[in-house]
Amino acid sequence: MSDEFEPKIIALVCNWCTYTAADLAGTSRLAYSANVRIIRLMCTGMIDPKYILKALLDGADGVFIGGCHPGDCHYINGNLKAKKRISGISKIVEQFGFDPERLRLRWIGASEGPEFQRNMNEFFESIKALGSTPVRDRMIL
Amino acid sequence: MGNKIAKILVVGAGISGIRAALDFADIGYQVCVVEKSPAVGGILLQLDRQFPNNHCGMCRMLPMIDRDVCSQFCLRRGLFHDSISVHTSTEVVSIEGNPGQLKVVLSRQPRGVDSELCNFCGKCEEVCPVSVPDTFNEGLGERKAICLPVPHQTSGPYSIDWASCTKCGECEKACPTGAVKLDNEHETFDMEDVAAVIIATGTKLFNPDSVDLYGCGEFPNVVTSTAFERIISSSGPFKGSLVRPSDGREVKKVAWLQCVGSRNLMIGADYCSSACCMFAIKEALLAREKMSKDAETVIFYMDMRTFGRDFQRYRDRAEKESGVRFVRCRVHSIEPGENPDDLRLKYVDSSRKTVEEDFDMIVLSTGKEPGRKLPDYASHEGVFVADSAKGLKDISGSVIGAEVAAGRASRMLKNLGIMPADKDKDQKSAGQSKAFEERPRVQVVLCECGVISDAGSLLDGIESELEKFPGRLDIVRVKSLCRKEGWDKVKQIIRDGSANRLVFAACNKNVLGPKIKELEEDTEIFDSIVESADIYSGDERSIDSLIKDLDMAVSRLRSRRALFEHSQPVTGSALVIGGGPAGLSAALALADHKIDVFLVEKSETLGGNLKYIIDKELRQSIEEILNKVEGNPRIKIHKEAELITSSGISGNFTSKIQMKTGEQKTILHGVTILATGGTAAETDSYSMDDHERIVSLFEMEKLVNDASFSGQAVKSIVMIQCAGTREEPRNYCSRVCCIKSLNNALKIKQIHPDAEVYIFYRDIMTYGDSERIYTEARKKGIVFIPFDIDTKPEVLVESGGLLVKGIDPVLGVPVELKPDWLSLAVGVVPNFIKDLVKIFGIETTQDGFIKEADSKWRPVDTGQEGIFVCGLARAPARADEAMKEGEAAAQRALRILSKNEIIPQRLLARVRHSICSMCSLCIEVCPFNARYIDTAEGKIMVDIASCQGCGTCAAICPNSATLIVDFEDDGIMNVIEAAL
Ligand code: FES
Repeated sequence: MSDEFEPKIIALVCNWCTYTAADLAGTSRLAYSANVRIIRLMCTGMIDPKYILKALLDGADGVFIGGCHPGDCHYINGNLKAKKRISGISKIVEQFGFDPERLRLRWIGASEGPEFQRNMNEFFESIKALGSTPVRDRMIL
Repeated sequence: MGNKIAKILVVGAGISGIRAALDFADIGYQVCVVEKSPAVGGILLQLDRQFPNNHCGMCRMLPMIDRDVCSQFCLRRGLFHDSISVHTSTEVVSIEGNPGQLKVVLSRQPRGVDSELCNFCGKCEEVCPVSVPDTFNEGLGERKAICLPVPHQTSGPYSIDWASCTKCGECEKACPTGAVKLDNEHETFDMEDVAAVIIATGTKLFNPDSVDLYGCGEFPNVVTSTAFERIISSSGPFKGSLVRPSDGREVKKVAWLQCVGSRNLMIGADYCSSACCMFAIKEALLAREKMSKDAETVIFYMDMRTFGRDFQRYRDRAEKESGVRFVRCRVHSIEPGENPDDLRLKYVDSSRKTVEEDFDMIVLSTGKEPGRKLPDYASHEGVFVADSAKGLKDISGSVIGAEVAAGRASRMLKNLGIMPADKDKDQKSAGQSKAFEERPRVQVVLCECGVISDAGSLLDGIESELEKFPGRLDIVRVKSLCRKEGWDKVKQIIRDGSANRLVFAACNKNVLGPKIKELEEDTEIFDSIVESADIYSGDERSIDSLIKDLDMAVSRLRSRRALFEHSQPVTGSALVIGGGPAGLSAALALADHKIDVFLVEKSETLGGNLKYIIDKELRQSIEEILNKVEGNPRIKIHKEAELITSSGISGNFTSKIQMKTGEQKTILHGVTILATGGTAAETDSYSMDDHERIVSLFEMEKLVNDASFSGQAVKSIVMIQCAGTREEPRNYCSRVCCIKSLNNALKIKQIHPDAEVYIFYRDIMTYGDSERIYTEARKKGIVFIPFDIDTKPEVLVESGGLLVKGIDPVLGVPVELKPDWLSLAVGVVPNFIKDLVKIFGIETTQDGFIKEADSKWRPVDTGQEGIFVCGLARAPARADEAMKEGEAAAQRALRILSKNEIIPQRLLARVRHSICSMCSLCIEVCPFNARYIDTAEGKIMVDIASCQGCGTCAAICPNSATLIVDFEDDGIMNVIEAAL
């Protein structure tokens, strides 16, 4: 089964809540795909649209963004700003020829290790259903 | 004490303990925290979200100015601060000696697992044959005798619960690193030269199993509120689904029973636990999020004590918007329903009918455990007790109480001449390490493990891939990084080599964490230039995926650059606006720390509402502070003066005040404390203005305490609570009225024993120990008549007399009363401060109270760093509470005032002025108001005391003129590239 499609996923997570949840999933041995690469940022409010585009254009099959629940953001409301920004970027993503489903934003609190695992698995499955990123066919990377 | 840094001991590592420890660390003390349990965080570890906004935000307690000395991550994972050492499973045995030089004897229970060696592999847990109810989940679900006591807290190793351990030795055999040691001999050790001790041991919650109450322990679906919290937690026994413990069925109907173990004279609990009402509302709201639309949530209560500023509206939303049902009654009994897993509640409803209602689950709102006393050493001189160790407090109450205790201790130390170390001199600035200025040279250290058998071939694979990386990498293998030999070797390599960045490829990073800190002391390597990748934990992973992790780590390190910010000087004086109880106590607390204070008061006298306070003890305590303030040469008092302008940034404000004479004065100060107070509210409800014998409760208080009152013929007096309050537009509880009305009533009974006193009330808010007044009032025969917002009593003025109509609660028939006096509980309002709000650019609530930065975790900070708020200006408060808030505000201010300058931290926004177009988007978007335009320079600047490095500005900047030092665009882009 070695040629079964294994999506490559970039998870941009905030340092405070979601990263803690990811760690908790790790210490609780809650498994999810080894193809998920977690990139820790201080806050989702720090996410520049170009990071998302960069990831997709470089061949990520999906970009997951995880932040604190509304009201929990360490920086008060960075997550809400991120939400606005990301709904804008998903249109741009579409113009680049990506299914906006390849971009997903979720709130995962610090003690929600199982929630993190579930989200990773769900995203992984939905990207798997979408198939490999069109970038690979269109561009010579 | 010579050059030694004075050491503070904090007992208890819950919210209060953490707050007190951070307060001391913030002003330069060395702190040791001891905690009885194996984890840091207290009860909050079990509560994911808290009222009154159903959010967390515990991390907001972390230092906001000196961030580099403290770990930057969720506090649930533990407390890591360069000046704080934490000892878990440790208790105080005794305290002796004099303040400043206390000797403390401590006793530690071994964890059974060596923290240096444990790599969290979990093998011990797998083999442990002993399963016991999971204490972290309040007995729901099981855990092993060896476990991680709090799953997300990996700051400590696994530990053994000795009470259930059989010492069979299986774990010892299974542990690959030899970390398990089955020796549970307590060790005692002394701590000498402790300057002061803070007791922050918190409050134990009542265990309903201990008394035959409502079948907790008998029926599996009757749970305590803490257990319910675990049920709905994602990390709880049911992974966050709301199901019944007995049969795992989805919960459709759940009830909360209030005051279980509180307000119960039979078990000696003549107090209100203060937090449970709000706790229950929050749980009901969280439950509703998880339940289907038609599900039911019911709270059975006697009085819904929503006495905080925003609490009443929270309750109203729960009722009106979320459909939580509130039923006022004492529940008679719980019995099994038709289906034995169901529960049948019997109670008498408001129409005096006995009702039987079935529920899937019942939650008992348990409060403080009765009869618990503080240990003897708590009264030793030099030992200070935080409020939460005396009674249950909500979060803001715990935070304020801890700050008060810390403040009082540091005042004592200042008085004794004991100083913290000179902070500015001592602070090694990790942010400005030389390493950042040099070209990055990365050293990769591969751990050969020594436990995992095929580590060698894995490392061969990794190493050959690493060699293909662009740029130079120094690669070295070290055996057993977790052991001393291994670690010494690492130090040697760093000292001998020329690397200025370090990557570890080893196992769980929590194993390395504390050791990396050690490197800082011995080498030039700070933890901000160290990265690690876990190559051993987890299931088999491909070399390719491990290499990606390492590549990402290397990319992160290569992009770390030097920080080019300068420190900001601090003006070491304070401006306090308002000379009432809160302002006075803030001013005095600062002056006692040898800080110059400008105290500005609008009226011609100091004391604020002191002039209306009759209670003798309270008067005395305020007068005492007032006299001290007036006699303190460090406090410059400006009466009949008003603030007209203020500008600047935290640590450096320039303000102008204007006297009555028109004379103006410029003041330079580092912080501002707003204590602008409040006053009795006015109301036109209940015909207040139509009769001279309808008075406010404040006037009533004066009247009954006047000598002439005994000469009056008094037959009957009526009091109506919540007159014009706890409904829109003034929908908040004023906190003071119930206690005052009850005291007035008791006084009337004392002077005129035959007089009848009726109190119409919605909910009697005698929180905490003031419940006793309520109990006494009932004993004295004062009649209490409850009403709802739509069954208010009616007041009529008839032929010169008063007529009050209501409904008798027992008989349900109308009653008519003709009182001699009618007292209305009108509540309090904040003073009008529109101009100040504008000057300082701060926010107010819809009721005109000044909004704090965070109502739970930063209750006396405003959204603007360097500006603090306390007392009635912030929220309704009793005078004694307002004074405590003043002390808390002073303690917060000291974080800034105790420094000569504010040192830039590693994580900070920076502006590249040459490409900044001054569009000012960043100013608008900054959540901390850290950005401003320097008009003289024509530049956008960052206030380094306020900036937290969140990067919102960088994300919005159209020209990428703003950057966050460790998260610059190119760095993040490189990491993304490495990841793919
Ligand atoms: S810190 Fe988590 S989203 Fe802002």
